[in-house]
Amino acid sequence: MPPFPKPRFDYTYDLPTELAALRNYRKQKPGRAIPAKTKDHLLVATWNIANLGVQDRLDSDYALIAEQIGWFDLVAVQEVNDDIRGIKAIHDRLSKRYDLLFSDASGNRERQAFLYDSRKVTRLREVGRLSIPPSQLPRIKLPGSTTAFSGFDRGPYLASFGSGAFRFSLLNVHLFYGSDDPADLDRRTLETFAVAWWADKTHRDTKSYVGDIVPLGDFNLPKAAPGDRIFDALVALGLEVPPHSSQIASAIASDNQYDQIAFFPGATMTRFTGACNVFDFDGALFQNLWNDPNRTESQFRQYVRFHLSDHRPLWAQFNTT
Amino acid sequence: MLRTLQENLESFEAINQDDVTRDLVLRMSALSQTGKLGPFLFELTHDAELDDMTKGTLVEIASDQSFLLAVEDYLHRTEIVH
Repeated sequence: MPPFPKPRFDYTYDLPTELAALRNYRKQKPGRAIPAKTKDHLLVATWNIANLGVQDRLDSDYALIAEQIGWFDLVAVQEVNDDIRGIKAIHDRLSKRYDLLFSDASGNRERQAFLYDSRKVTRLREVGRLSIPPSQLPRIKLPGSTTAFSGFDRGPYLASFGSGAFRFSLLNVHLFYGSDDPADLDRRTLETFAVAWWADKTHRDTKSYVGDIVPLGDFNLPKAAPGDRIFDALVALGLEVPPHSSQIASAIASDNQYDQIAFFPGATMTRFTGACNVFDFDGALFQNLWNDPNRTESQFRQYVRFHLSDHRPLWAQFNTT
Repeated sequence: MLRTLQENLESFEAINQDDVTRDLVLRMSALSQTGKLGPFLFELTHDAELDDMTKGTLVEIASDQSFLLAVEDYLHRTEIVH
């Protein structure tokens, strides 16, 4: 995505006030509670932090982002630029026990990253870009379409982790968007099906290093419901997408449910506690700006997407005993 | 010929004892209940890494919805034991 322009108006905020607003919102706003960290549960989140490393955010912006990431045990981050200053700034503001792992850059010079609490989460040995051999690419095809799958624009980033008795691999995705042109939509659908296809093969392969596969991230999925082409491709081979308890969209300016966490019935589903939600930080932050009669809703969103993101974090909780 | 209860229970427990098979059967059961087994079976039968016998067994299980429902029930009921 091209960088969002810096808002052309002045607004300054007080970091302690905004941090308190975030914490109060999490604690008191109905439907926004995020469980406290506990020994036997794992909080996994995914967050597309727009143009991280490209937009000139303030130190205090990174502190607000780090505050939210620190609520979770393991976070998959998308839109991490080749210039790692943004993800590094967030990592520097987290507790020292958080470790950082990131991929090489691919399409749009983007990396994917993981930030995780190393006291709770152990990184296992399989890490790398998802790879589908060229000979297998023709297997990725859509009914009624002749569009060929030529590979990912931004290859999903795979990393295996352990927490308690739970061993799993996260597949951190930021799938192609393009436009609403039919060819671009085909490509987006093919990328989604490729994720499902690879997850299916890995899940039922007895030789897989880790069989519990959790694709998560920005699927550019408009609506998590049957009939949406991207959604249908994602769930075609049995992946399931848990409903968010609040049904809040993960995009700040639309009802789109771009961001998802998916897993198969069986071991991973059994560990899923049923707690899953989107945290709409924009409902808590910058209330002076929101209530300013001289500013519009559009200007508020411009500010939020430049200083934080146009996406909200999505999280899910798993049992690790 | 109908399988006996004991034969069924032995099959259920054999599935339960194997993590990959258990997850696969649960997945097939979920897809079967929504009438969406087709794409999964297509991928299964076109998987060059699977032998014909395994493919045949899985397709046979997938086509028996009452067996899938029964084994799913068994797996959920015995979950706490394992």
